[in-house]
Amino acid sequence: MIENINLFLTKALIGKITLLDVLQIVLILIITIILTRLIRLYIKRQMKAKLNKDQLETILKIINYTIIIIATIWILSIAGLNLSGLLVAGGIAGIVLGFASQSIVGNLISGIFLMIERPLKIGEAVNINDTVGIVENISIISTVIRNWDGLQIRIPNETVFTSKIINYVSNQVRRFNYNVGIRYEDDAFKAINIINDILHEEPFVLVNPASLVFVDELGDNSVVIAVKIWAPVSQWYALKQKLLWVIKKTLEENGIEIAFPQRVVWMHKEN
Amino acid sequence: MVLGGILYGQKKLPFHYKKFGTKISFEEIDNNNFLYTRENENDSIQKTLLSKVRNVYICPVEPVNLPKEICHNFLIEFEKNVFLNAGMKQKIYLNFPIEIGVFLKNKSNYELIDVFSYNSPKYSLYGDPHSGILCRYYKSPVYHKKSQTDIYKEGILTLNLENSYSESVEINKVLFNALGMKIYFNENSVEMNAKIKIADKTMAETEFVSDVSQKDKQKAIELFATRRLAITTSKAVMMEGLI
Repeated sequence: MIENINLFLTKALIGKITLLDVLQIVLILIITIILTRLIRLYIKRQMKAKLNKDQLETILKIINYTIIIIATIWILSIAGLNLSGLLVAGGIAGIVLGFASQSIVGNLISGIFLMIERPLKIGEAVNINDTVGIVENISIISTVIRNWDGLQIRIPNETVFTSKIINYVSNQVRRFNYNVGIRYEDDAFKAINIINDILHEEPFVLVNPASLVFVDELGDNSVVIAVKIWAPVSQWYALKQKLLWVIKKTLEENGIEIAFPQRVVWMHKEN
Repeated sequence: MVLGGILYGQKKLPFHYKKFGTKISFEEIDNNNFLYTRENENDSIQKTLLSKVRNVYICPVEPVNLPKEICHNFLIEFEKNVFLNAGMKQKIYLNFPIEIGVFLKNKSNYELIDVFSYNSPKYSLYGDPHSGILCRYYKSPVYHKKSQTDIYKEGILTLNLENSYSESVEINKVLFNALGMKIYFNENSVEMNAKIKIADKTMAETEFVSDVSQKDKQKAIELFATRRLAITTSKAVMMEGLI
């Protein structure tokens, strides 16, 4: 009986392909379909919050095609196709394609890592290798930045990934600084109190982390007062534009002048 | 018509009102259309109201709108630390700043047209710059009974402290989610009720609660409710310390 089943299963149906081979191929196909669906579902659940719809779809397609290629090679080997020639041809083609598409693959892999690591998001203000602007799009190959002049700049993902990225808005607050130089004859403590009062009155100058105002340097021409201000990231630039002039005007109203460069020349008098 | 009595509550247009140097007026420009003006020495706004509505409703609103709405969190720092024994429950009273909302009232709909305040707002970060929470800031004395406040500048917050930790704790600030604020007012006071449950020396949960005992007061409009926002939680969790 077992012998009969064995004979039936190993009997060639088409060429050298037996019923057992057909069953194996069907099984591989079923496993491939189930595995693809499970992996797609898992990736969708895990990455839904991290990636946008287009990026997620691209990654799912890459996974789909990878599984299909693996399953096809497996099925072909079961069907008795000699894959050594295919492997050699594939190898040569791979080398050629590898050289040709080195940068594309580099960008693609960097793009995937950028999506996973997420050092920047769409809408954020960033500085990538001194390209400063708002992130407009992060695709699988490149990242598009709109700089402050409104120009669109496309940066390959490999460059983005290997560059120093400064994200200006990843935290809720940030600090900005001024150096205010006053004359040596002016009272620095009075100036510090005036500046502190101005900062106290300003709603978006944060209470915590506290601003710092102190004499930072006894310069060639002035006593330099450092002003370090913490503000919400959404408001810091408007504050930065506004406050320096307010500080200057208020100091002057209180008799404290901003110092000009000056040099004292001592004349030597003979006899 | 010069408005007498208190500013809060439902008012019939036109009227004008002046307090602490800020003038508010609704002038009829033609049939049932009005010009809204609010001005003081630093600021002036005007809005033309073409809504054919003759009623406005003015009340205290959540103090997180000025000068610009940047967060929904509200932090009160105590002038003095409060020490609470293990398992202890205690009631304290704090002051909070008032922002005043001006709504157009059309039947049961309220449309916000302006928010102003007689206080200077201030903001702060609760926690560190990396993970902290941006919040509206106010510093208040700690009272053991209700204090008298100016109803246009400050309200009274009844805070129910509960130390559910096995050791005593010290606290000098309380962070709230302003989305759940419930403000009650009348001609004498503006009040809120909240609770804080202290889990350990660095962690606590806070929440505003409805106060059924405020029967002599009107409940202010919840600003975020009028915006039809889906409010998922009205609680705030303090994870960055109580001092």
